[in-house]
Formats: sequence, C-alpha cells, structure tokens
Amino acid sequence: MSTQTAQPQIECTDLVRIFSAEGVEVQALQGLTLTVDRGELTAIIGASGSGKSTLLAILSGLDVPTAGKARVAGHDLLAMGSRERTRYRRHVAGFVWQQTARNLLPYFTAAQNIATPLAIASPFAAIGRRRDRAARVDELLDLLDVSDVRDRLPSQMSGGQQQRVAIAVALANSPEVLFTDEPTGELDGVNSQRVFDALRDVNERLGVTIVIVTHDQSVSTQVRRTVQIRDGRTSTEVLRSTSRDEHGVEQQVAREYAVLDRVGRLQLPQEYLTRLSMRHRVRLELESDHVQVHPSGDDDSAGQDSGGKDSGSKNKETP
Amino acid sequence: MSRLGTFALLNRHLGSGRVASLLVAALVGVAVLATVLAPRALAVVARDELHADLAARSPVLVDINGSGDMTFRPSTASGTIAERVSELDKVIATLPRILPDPLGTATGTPQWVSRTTPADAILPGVPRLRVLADLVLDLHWMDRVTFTAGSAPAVRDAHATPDVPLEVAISAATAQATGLKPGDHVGYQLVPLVIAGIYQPLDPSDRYWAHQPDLATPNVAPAAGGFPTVSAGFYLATESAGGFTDDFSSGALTVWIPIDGTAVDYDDADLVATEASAVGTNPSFLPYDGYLQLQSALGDSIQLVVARVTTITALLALSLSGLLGVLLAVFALGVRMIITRRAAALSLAAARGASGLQLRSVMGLEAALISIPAGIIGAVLGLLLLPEPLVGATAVVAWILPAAIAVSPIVLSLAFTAPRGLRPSRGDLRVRGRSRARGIAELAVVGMAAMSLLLLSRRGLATSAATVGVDPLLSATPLLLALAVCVIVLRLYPLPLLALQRVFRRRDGAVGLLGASRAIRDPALGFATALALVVGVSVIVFSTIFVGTLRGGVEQSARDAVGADVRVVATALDAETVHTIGQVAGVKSAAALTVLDAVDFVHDNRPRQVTVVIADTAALHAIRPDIPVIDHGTGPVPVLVSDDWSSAVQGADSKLAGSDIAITGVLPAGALPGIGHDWLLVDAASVDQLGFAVSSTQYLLITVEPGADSAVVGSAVRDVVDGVAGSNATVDDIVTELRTMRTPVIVSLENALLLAAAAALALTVLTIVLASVTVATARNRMIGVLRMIGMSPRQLRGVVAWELGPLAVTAIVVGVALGAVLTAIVTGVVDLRPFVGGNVQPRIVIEPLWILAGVGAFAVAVVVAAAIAGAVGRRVAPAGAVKMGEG
Repeated sequence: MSTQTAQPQIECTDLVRIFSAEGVEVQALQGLTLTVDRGELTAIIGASGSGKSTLLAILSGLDVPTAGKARVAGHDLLAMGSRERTRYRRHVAGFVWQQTARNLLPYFTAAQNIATPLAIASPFAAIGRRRDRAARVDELLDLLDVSDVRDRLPSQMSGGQQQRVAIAVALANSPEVLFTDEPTGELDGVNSQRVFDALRDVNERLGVTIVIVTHDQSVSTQVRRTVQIRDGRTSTEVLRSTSRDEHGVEQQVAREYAVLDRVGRLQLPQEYLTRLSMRHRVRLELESDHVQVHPSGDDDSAGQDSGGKDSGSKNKETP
Repeated sequence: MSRLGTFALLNRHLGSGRVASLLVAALVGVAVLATVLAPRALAVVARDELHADLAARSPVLVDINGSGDMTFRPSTASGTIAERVSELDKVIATLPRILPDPLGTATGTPQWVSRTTPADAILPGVPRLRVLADLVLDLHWMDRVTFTAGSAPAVRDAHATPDVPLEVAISAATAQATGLKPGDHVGYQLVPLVIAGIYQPLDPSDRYWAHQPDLATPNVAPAAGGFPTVSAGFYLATESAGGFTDDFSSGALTVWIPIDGTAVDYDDADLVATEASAVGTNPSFLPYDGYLQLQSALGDSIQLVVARVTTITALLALSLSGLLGVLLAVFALGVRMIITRRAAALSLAAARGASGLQLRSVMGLEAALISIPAGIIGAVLGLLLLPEPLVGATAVVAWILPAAIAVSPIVLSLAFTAPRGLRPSRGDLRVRGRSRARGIAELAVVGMAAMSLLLLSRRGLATSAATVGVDPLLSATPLLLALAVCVIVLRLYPLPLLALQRVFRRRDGAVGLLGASRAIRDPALGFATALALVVGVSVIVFSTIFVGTLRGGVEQSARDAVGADVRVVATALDAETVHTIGQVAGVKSAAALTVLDAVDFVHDNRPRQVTVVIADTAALHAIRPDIPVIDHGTGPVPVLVSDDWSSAVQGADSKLAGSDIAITGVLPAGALPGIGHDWLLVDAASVDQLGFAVSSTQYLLITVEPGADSAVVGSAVRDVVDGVAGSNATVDDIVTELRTMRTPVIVSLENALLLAAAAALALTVLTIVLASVTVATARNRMIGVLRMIGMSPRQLRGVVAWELGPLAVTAIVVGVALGAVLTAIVTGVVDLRPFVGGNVQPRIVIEPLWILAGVGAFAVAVVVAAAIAGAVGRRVAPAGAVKMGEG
C-alpha cells in the first residue's frame, strides 16, 4: 500500500480511450485530467455519454486507456499485470455499482456477501481466524447501520439497505479508495440521503478516499468537491466549503472553477461562450494577478469587453 | 445465522441454479454410458459374429481335417480285426493332445472313416445308371443311424471263399436313387455285395454327415446323353474288414477333429487362427507305418471374421467421430451456459479481487462436481447393462474416451473462465491480434483435414494399432473435414448475407435489414453452434445414406447369390414337376434350365469338357433381364459364355459336341449361381442341332408375383420338390438368403448408424435449445428495445427467426452435402465387400425420404426453438429488459 502523502491519491493525466467498431471510432475520453487527494470525497458528474463510465472502468482496472497516465495509490493502472491488478482490487480499490444485482450475490445473505471479499483475499484462513472474519463482518454491518439485516438475502432488504450492505462489501478488505457508480440511482430521496450520509460517515471515520460518479447534478450539494465531465474531459470544478459569517451563522460557499490542463488549455463554460458570443478565438490579456479573456472583437455581434474570467493556475482550496 | 467459512460460501454458491448443471450432467452421463457400452457391445458383436460365422460354415471348413494312410497290424499277429481297429481308434483319439491351447480346448473327440477306392457296382436288372461305390469302415457308425429296412450287416469271415457275399448297409437316399432294397445282390469288383439294411441318419445335422455327405445322400451327376452317375459309400460290419485289410490300406483314411466354434474366444481368435494354420506343418504318425496329414481351414475362416470385425470397428469409429465432435460442441455450449449463468457472480468476485486462478478453480470445481459423479454413474450403469469383460490393451484404451468425456466439461470451463471474458462484450468490436491467431488455427484445421483425406485415400482404412483396431487420424477424417468445412463456411457465410443486406437496404421493412445486419455484425450463435449443426446434419445424412447403401449392397449380393426370387437346383426335375411348380401360388414365372456336365468341347483342336446350360432364353430373359435372348438362326450354334471360360474359347474355331458354335456374348461367371464358373449357355431351340437329349430340368429360376413373399413361395416350392422321388433338390429364396447374409456385424453396424443418426438429431436439437438459451438475455433486451419502438409480434418473430434461420439453412445445405461426400469417401476407400458378402462394391443408395425425414426433424426443431425463444422474449417486460446489462 502506497502511503506517499505528498502525492495525490488518484492522478489521471491526459487519459484517452478510443473504441473502434467496424469503420467507426468513438473517442470516449479525450485527454481527461483529474487529481484527487487522499481522504477527499469527490463527485464526478457528467451527462450520459460524457465518458464518466469509461473513466470509472479505467479506475477500477476493468479497462485500459488508449493513452495517458492513470495512477491510484501508487499503482500505475496502465502497467498493471494480472497479479498486481488482483492485489489492487483486493486491497486498494472498493466498488459500489448502481444496480444492487451487481453488488450483491442474490443467494448470499448480507453477512455472506460481506464475507465473500474476505474469503477471496484469504480463502484458507486458519480455524482461529474464522472468528476474525465474523468479527470484521459484524464491525462493517455496525458501521453502516445494517446489523438488523445481517442474515437476510438481498431480496429481503430495502434498496437503501442493499446499497449500504454493498458499501460494507466494498470496504471489507479496508481499501484506500472507494469508487461508487450512481450509488443512489435506484433509490428514493430518503434512502439516497441515508446512503450519502453513510458515505460521508465512512469518509470521515475511516479516512477512505471516495469517488462518486453520477449524472445527478444535485449530488454536488452532498459533497465538498464536484468535478464536471463533458465530452470526455473534465470541464469545471465546484468546491464547497462551510464558513461562519460575522453573525456566527454557518454558510455554504460554492465556487466554480474551470480546469486548466498540463499544457495550459482551458475549457470555458458553454453559457459564457453563448452569452458573450465567443467563437473561434478570444483575446487574452495578462494582468499582474489574473488573465482576462475577451471576445476577439472581429465578430460584429460580439459585445465589447463586457466580461472576463479570472483563472488561477490551480484553483484548489484545502478545507 | 449465516455461515461465513470459505467452504460454506462455496457450497452456497455452487448450490444455486442447478438446471443447467443437471442438463450438462445428464449429457455427460449419457455420453459416458454410450462410450462405455460401445467397446463392450463391439466385443459382444465380435464374439457373436465369430460364433455365427463358424456355425454357418460347413464343418469341413471349421474342423481340423486329416487324410492319410492306415495300415493294419499283420493279421498273423494275435487279436481280432476289431481289436486292431480299436488300437488305431485309440491313437487317433489322442490327436488333440498335440494341439496347443487355446486351439486344443476347442476340440472335440476325433472321428475317422476308412474307405476303399471307389469302384463300379453292378445293379441287378437293366442298367439305367452308373453306381460308384466304396466300402466304409467306421467303428461307431451304428450309433448314428437307424434302420428303416433290413438289419445291420452280418460279419463275413476273413477267410471265406470269394463267392461268399459281403453284407453292406446303404442310406435311404442311396436306396431311393439306385432302387436297391434289402436282399438285393450287387456285383462288385472285390467281393459280391448283398444289401442287408437301409438306414437313415439319426441326426441329419450331425457334423459327421457334413464330413461324409455321400453316406447320407449319394452324389448324383447327370451326364450329357448318358446315364447319371451315383456315388455312395456302403458300410460293412467292422469285423468283416479283416478280409479287406489291403483294400482299406490302399484306400483313404479320413480323420477330423471337431472344433467347437462357440469355444473359441474372439480375443484368442488370432492365436487360434495361427495355431490352426500350423497344424499341417508336420505329419502325424500312426501305428504300423501309417501316417496322417492334418490341415485346417479354420485359420482362414477366423481371419475373415477378424478382418470384418476390424473393418466394422474402423467404420464405426469413422462414422461416430463426427458425433463426438457434435458432443464436444454441445458440451462447449452447455459449459458456456453455466458460465454465463455464473458470469455476474464471477465478474463481481473478479472486481473484488478474485484472481484468475480462483475464478477458474471455482468454475472447474463446479464442472467437476457436475461431470465426475455423472460420469461415474454413466460408467457404472454401462458396466451393469453390459458386463462384458475386455481383455488386454483394449481394457485400458476403452476407458480413455469415457474419461476424456467426463473431464472435458472441466477443461472447457477452465478454458472459458477468462476474467477478461466475463464482461459483456460487443461482438462487432474485433481485435486484430485475435483474428490472426484464428487464421492460423483455421489453416491448421484445413491442412489436417486435407492430410487425413490424402492418407485415407492412399492407405485405406488400415489399422495402425493392431490392439486398438482404430487409426485415430483416419477415424477423425470426417470430423476434421467437418471442422474444415465449418471454418470455410463461417468465412464465406457473411458474403451472401452482405448481398441480402444490400437488397434489404433498398427496400422498406426493418426486419430483413435488421436480421441480416445482426447476423453479419453480431452473430448470436458462434462457432460451436455452427459446428454442432453442420456436423449434426452431416452425421444424420451420412448415417442414412450409408445404411441405405449397406442394405442395398446386401440385397444385391443376396440377389446375385440366388439369381432370382427363388431358385431350385436339383438332380433332375421332370416336366410335370416343373409345371406343378409353375402353378404354385405366388409364382409369377419360372425358367427351367437343363445343365449338362462334362460335354465335349474342342477348341483350337484341343479337346476339353465344359458344362452346358440349355434354356429357353426368351423365358430366362423375362426373369433375368441381364441375360440376353439368343436368336437362333442357321449356321453355327449361337452361345453365351461365362467370362471365366471366355478367355479359353477366344479366337479359333470351337466345336461343342461336334457342332460349330459362335459366341454371341459373355456373361459374368456368377450370373447363374449354383452352376460353376465355366459354362456355355445355349438356347433350347439349338438342342436338336447339337444332338442333345433334354429330358429333365436341373435348374429353375422363379420370380414371384408382386407382393408375394419369396420365403413363402420358396417353402411351397420346396414342398413340391420334396415330394418328387430322387429329385435331390435344394430350394433357395432371396428372403431367406438375405436373412442369413445379415450377419451380426451388418445388423449391429446398421443399428449403430441409425443410433448415431438419432443421437445426432437429439444433439442438434439440444444445440439449438442451448444456443437459444445462452443468448436469451441479449435477445430479450433487443426484443424489449424493438417492442418499445413499436415492432409488432409478427415482426419480432421475424427478427428471432433471423437469429437461427441463416445458420440453420447453411447447416442443412452444407450438412447434406458433407454427409453425401463422406459416404462417397467411405465407400470409395473402404472395401465393403466382406460386409455385404458380394463380389462388387455396393453402390451408394440415397433414400430421399429418409434424408428428408432427418432434415425435416432438424428444421422442425429449429422452428420450435425460434418460436419458444420469441415467446419467452415477448414475455419479458420491455422496461426491465432494457435495463439489463447496463452500467
């Protein structure tokens, strides 16, 4: 297990993934760059077809990018052999998918589902250590507040219970990172909230880095950091922090950032471009502490210096 | 409380969803049962064939025969002649002891007969036939006969004066042929004879009478224009032999050691054959300078059976290897189905960090739990059903195939459980590297098929391993050929579909375009399915054509052996009898032939003798269209000649009984079965010109009315001729001949082929069901999508039909062609004559109705499977179906 605190936990640089069918090529990821630090709770939000599922498949080691770099907890996902991939899945990364059918085996009880990854990691545990397995299972059931469904089959649980058991399964072997794919996609509001509470709780109590991939924009209210993916690239980031104002009232502050890639490319939000009729090219002006972006002025319809955009080289606020 | 141990978890995992497992288990069980039964059944067939063959053969060809000289102890020494003969008898009785085992264990008590040289016997009254008689000395003959008239011959004193007659006994048939009765005096060269008694064999089926046929029934030979000759032996009392010791010494001693065919074990057959062939190496010595030369045709008889059994083994292996291919493909589909069912669990486990080894171990364990118990049950059942012990290397080799079958699901499941292959993948996203590997594998298959075909055509179905009797490469030829054809078919298969797709693209209507596009880009059914279907259909077609060919061959041989529906061969039938036979119910027409033996024939100034057959050739032609009508005109007498004789009469002038003849045609020597190979056929109209006196019929060919049973007619004809004194007739009919020609190997080969056809049909049906079930999830999802965009049930049926249709049509077309080609290869390469018993390799007989029935059953199975798949697909809620597999 890598513990270099100086390095980010997840580091994707210029990820490209191309699917080719007969005569047709689909570029699912077009140079995506993403960095997640240890212990962060991050949501990756994108519309259907934005490439978020491809990104998750790469991060979970199920898929290999066509080009680029991807490292998770010191593991180079492009250079992983089958042995390292197995180790990675056992001890580094845990997964929770949208469908409970993919998370839990229908013929296993909650406890047995949680015990399965433990059995996979050490199938021939000595007799004395069987108790350890049972204790670990109970510990996880407790942590996710689902002890009451310990001996129930998934079909005998509610959707929210199933997803919380699924999180327990993913955490069984104490992974460093937990990837969740639309974890609340099939749940109602109350159950969704309980699942998010559980994820936050796990994040805070165990310090596990959590990445939630979803198309649901409202998820951004549940997490501190939200990364938008569009057309196979990270486009904007929203950082949320709580601060107390002068009256001592807690306030949620959300700031939206554009992402600047390694070579300095920047993607401006579509609504800015439309509003200012920016097309083809823009005019940049370097000031002492920021950069101004103006419509080129060649275009008749373009407004005059009506706005600009501050852009830091790396906008990130540590909580 | 949930149990959380690894084994508890495994147990729970393996215990879920047993239907597919049961299906594969049943398949393994049945396949192991079949492969355990097959070699044992073959051993039983081999033994039955050997015993049936030896039982059907004349004892002369089975028993060990000896001929030699006997001399009697000088009569001056003490002891009666009976004592001296007994001494010889005892020595002969010890003969089997010199024979090695296992031949020795099959022998019975040796028997012997001593006979004087045949000489003319002068009958009382006006001479009307020639009788050649010899005196027969046999210690035990009285035990085998019963007297119908007179009594046993009295003893004639050795020192009696020459005019004292010797009392002899003759058989009832000889009495009938010669008209002799008890008390009649017969002039004879050695001593006057008097008939003391007339006997009949107690048991006419006793091997004794086969070795000495003229002691039961005299040999009667008709002669052209002269008296017929009757040859028979006359028994005398043993004690009378004292006066004729010199005559017996200069005569012939015949000894035979009976062989009990049922005591010969097939496994020892080769050894027994070798031992039997070796009996004649050294003569055996008898007391007083007598000697005996033993010989045996048993070795040749056994070798023929062994050759036939070896060929049937190879033929069966050749016919069934295709079936094995289908079975393997079905196993692959079954295992694929189990893995598909486990895919969710396996991919989840893989995502949780299960290594490839762990996944394979679990799937291998599951496959083992399915196939090993099923295999054991199949094997035990097989051993209980047919507890036939196998010996030697066969005992070990016979277990290889059942073991391989039981292990194959495990191997297949290990091979198919690739962690990478568990995720649902799109068939139209191809990886180039894999297609190169595929190309190499395909080239290898085509190359091996070509090589085995070449070997088969050059070497024939030779057996490379004597102990096993099966050449693996050559036996696998049909399978390799089928694999090669499948490879080529799957390569060419998209071409017509692409053409169809272009056609549909220009037309309205989605079903055709969707179906064709899907068949090209994402075929629902893979190589295993294609292989199973193509090979399955080809096995069905091959089996039916081959059974028809075998049957046709045996029928042709039976027809050739009898010559017509019913055939009568007799010493002499008068015109009235022939007329009576013509009136027998069921007889349509009859051609009467007169056979004259030893007619003078001069060719190129060299005199010879030939058999002449006289027939009304117009009547004969009506029954046997292959024999032409001889047009009689002036000039030389036109004759037809057998091809064996034709070489002897070519070129220079020939004269038959002094008249000029002209050869107008040549017929196969076997055209008139029952008459030798060297004969001339003349028309009845030429009889006067040749100066023959034709008074009787020796040969009658009969056709029966349509619908009449030749066996029944034959039996009625037999009743007629049996009532005629002295006819000495044998009646053969084609139905009985066919029955005797269908030996155990023929019957079992036919049964095995029909069973193979049925098994292939069952397996292809199963293939369709399995393939259909395996792709059900993907299909149901597609049907859900199509329903949501508004396709009607009718259109959906069309889409599902496109899934199975192209492959089923291809399988029928290619399978039928492959089956026909395989039959052509097998009949071209394997000598089937020992099987069908004829002299001509059987022609391929295609019975369209049978093939249509087999292919029709296959087509019905496809239609039913498609209908069920469509119905199931429509029952799945579209919304649910569309969600499946997403994420």
